[in-house]
Amino acid sequence: MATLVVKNLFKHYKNAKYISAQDISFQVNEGEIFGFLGINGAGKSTTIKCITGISPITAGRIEVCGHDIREDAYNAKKNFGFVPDNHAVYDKLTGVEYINYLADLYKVEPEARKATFEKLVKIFNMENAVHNQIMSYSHGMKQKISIIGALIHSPKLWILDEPMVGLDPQSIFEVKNYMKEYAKAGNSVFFSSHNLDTVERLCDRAVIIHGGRVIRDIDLNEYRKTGKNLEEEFIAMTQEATTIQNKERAALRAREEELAKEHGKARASKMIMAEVKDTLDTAVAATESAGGEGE
Amino acid sequence: MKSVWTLIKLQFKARVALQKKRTGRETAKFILLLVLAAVIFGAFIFAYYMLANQFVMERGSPFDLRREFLIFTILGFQAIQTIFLVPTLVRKLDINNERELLLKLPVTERQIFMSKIFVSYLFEILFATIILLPILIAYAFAANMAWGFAVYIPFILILAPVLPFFIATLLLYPMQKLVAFMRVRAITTSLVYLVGLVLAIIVYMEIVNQIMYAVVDSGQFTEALRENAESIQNGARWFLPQWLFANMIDTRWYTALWSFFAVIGLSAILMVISYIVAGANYKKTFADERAQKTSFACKSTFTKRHPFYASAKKETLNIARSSNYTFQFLIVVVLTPLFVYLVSRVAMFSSYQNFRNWGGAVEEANALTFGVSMFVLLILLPLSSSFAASSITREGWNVYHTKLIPVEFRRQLLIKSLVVFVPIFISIVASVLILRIPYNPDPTGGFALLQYIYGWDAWYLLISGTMLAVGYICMGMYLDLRAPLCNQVAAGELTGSTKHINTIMIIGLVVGGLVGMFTMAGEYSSHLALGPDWLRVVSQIGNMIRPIFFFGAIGFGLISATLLFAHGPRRYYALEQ
Repeated sequence: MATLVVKNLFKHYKNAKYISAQDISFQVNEGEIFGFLGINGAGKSTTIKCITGISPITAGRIEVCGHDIREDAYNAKKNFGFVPDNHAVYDKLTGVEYINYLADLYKVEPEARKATFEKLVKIFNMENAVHNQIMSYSHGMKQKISIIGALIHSPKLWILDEPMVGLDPQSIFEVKNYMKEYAKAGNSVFFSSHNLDTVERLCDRAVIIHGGRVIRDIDLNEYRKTGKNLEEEFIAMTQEATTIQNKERAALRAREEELAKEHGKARASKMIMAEVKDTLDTAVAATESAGGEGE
Repeated sequence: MKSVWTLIKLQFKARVALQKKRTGRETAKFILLLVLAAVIFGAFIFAYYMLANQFVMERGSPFDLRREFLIFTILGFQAIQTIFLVPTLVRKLDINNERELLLKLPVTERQIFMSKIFVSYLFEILFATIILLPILIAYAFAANMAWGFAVYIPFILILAPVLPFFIATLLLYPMQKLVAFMRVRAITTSLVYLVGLVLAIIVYMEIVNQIMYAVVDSGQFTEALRENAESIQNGARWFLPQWLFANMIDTRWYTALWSFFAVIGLSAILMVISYIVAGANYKKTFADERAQKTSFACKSTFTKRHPFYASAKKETLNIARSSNYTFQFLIVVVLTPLFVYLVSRVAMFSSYQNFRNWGGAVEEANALTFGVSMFVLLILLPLSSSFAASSITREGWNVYHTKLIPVEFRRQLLIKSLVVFVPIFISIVASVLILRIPYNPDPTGGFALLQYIYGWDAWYLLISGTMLAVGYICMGMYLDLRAPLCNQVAAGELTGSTKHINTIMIIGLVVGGLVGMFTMAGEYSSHLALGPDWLRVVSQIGNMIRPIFFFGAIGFGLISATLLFAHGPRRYYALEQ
């Protein structure tokens, strides 16, 4: 059964000249560790923000354990735990207060929250810090408390955006082990990373995105058997995609400059925006007519 | 020595920000504040001059208390200087950028200390020049001093800060300990400040009340001075350093001269002790950086709470543990009933006296008090309510977190608004209730007991004040929701006003000021039997404004709440940073 379904996702930020996510589709199944790869600016964080409900989606459909993130946000949100890349946690609270607050929001019973908390605190070696204010934590400790917070309600889907950044080797090891253990228990782990080596060794499947489009969906269990090198393949693929993207963007800039000569900068910018909107509408309509998800 | 001089220049630049170029707007604001401060200080100097006159009698008269007045003036100045100096020294002699300085410049820890202590003392001389010099000049005019007194003035300005400096250095260590404790206990710090402030305001208003009583019976003050002249003279002699200073100005030349040398000697001893004590303390601070702790630990257990309560608790803790918000918000909320009460008390007393003299009735005093209380309440409400206009911005990067938790946006908005509204509502209720306490405007207890305002006026204040607060809170939150500045407060700590806070404050102050003023003036003029035509116009406007404002406040509250709770969730969903 799929814990996460992303179908024909489109995302366009207001006043942006490029579409951040274009017809992205994939799914994450139960018991799977799923890697989400892409170079900087590929659209990884945008996609994750759409999945978690942080950013509104322009078109498409996202389901978490069968619950639509827009129509049934409450149940969708109850089924995932998210570790953001910016370690945004409430600095003024102590570690225990923060976790207790999250457990209250997810209505976790006291015994269950205590058991999960104690287990995770021990794994991440946080025993001595949990009663301190989070503002006194190091970068890595904030990441750890964020991980504990995301898992306190034992969600079916664990989403992590660049989870290894800022962690010490010991903690990276523990996080990777816990990911495996968590997936083995029938849950799913979805994480974005730049560390191709980790993804290749840890994940069951991975998706590579570039310029807001999925350029490869890989079954890593099969891939490992081929003896190929993911890093080399990733670089080759993204370089090719970057060349195409650069050409597209250069064409767009040239068009804007051309329009600017005729109509002035401000008007040209508006016209380009309107063209982008048209492109988006056409793409969404095409997806719909092909049997995909529209608005 | 050259290194110390370089450090002094650096310290001086940092403190007066000479290198910073002000924008035109900043310059205008600075000049405006300067003019305002000069006006307030000018009024104080005038009041001081008037007060000094009361103490000056014919020289040689047993009732001549001019020197005692001067002694208490210098004592008062030094007490104020000490109060300001203690936190300044704690801040300045703390470890700030020392490590950086030691790395960048060929200086020692001792040289840094010397520069710090020198600049701090220099600023105290500046403080004395700005505050004490005009006071001494006013005194000289009141006491009809000869120009010779001016010879010693520069020495007084240089030496008067020595005693405050000495006391401040003695208090440095315990204060540093206290500050280190309070730095991590924002709520405790705020409460301590608040209690201090409330007490200061009560004392101040009591003094105002007493002065008003004295004004009503003008001979009473002079009589009291005469009766207590001997004990005042005896009491003043106990303050030796101040007595020596007074001698320098207000006595024969030989007494002035030996007093001058005595002051020099005493100051030298105190300065040496101050330097040694502060130096030892600085060395210790430098060694262990004991005041660096900025967070605290507290043991808590796992208890299950309803998500609504858990969110409200988180919101409250976030506010309470940030001294900036706690202080700004709590101060207005707590001070509102106090100000309403104290100002109404003064208004009630003076209007009762006036109307009694003019043959008016009790109702007239009540009506005027209502106008005054309404004015104060309306002016203070936007100051506290505008706090809600940073509800989303204050989240900083955590605004993402609020979007992914399984709590509906409408409910989150309700929690955020209630956290601000509940204390404000309590404050309004307290303000209204306190005005219904029976009060006797006669100091001798001769009049009948009164209540400050009538029952229906109390309901009017309660309903209109509450709805206005609802309006400000919901409107402020909606504005903030439309364009939060979360990316500017990544650390989750908002230190200054945002444009939304300013918008609500300005609208509130203008509306509150106008409505309050017209109500006050309307109530006052409508009870005058005779008066100029313009007063009648004011009265008519005041009477017209009263119902319009009442229904306007209700309408504003309802519209703002509808806007926030009907359209807010959609805005929240669309929020992207």
